Amino acid sequence: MVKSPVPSGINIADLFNRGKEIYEEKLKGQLEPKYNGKYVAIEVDSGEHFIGETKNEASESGKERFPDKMFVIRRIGELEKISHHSFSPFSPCFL
Amino acid sequence: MIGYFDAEDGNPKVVLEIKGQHRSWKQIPALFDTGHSGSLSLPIMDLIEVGAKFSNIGEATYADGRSGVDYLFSIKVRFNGIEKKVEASMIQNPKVTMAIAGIKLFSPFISFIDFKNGKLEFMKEGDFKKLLRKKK
Repeated sequence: MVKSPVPSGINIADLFNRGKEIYEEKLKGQLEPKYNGKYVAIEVDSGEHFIGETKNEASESGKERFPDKMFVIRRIGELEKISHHSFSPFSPCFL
Repeated sequence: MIGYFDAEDGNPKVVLEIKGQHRSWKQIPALFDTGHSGSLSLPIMDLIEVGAKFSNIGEATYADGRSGVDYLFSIKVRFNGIEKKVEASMIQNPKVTMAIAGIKLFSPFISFIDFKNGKLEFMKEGDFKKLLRKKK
């Protein structure tokens, strides 16, 4: 049987929204502007966060403490800019 | 590093090797995009082919101005004699088959883009300083 890559019981949308909420309500004021440009990995159940120079660095320091958890990672300050489009089944490229 | 301007579409590209949970490395061309502030975005098929592990979720701003979920996969990347572990973003549009390499991936290097002659070069800071000393 193929094992799902998503840990059981994890709802991506819920995890994303909780991570976003923790950042906006608790971490933003604490981390910006001092750590702008670095990355933060948020463990949403405990609310703990881990900072790194890259997404990988932030994730790895979080996984040392919570090896089985999935983190919500974002750039501190301005969000990372990705040069491709977000997914939408209604965007012209899918029609 | 192998950097070049693609004769077909005129875009600057680099050749990378990527590895997920599978044993073998896969060589891929990637668009060199200075407007991408992340490290690497990979098409779904490349992620599947190398057995990349879905590791985390991120938040990012996309080219269409929307911000949203960024699906992150743990992979290793090899280029120019270095190996890096990165959290690669998944390109969610299944019609996009070209990887996109952003500025964060190339942070140890200095890049020269010669638009006139269609050349793309990368070198380490130390080598760049040596080159400047020679020219003086």
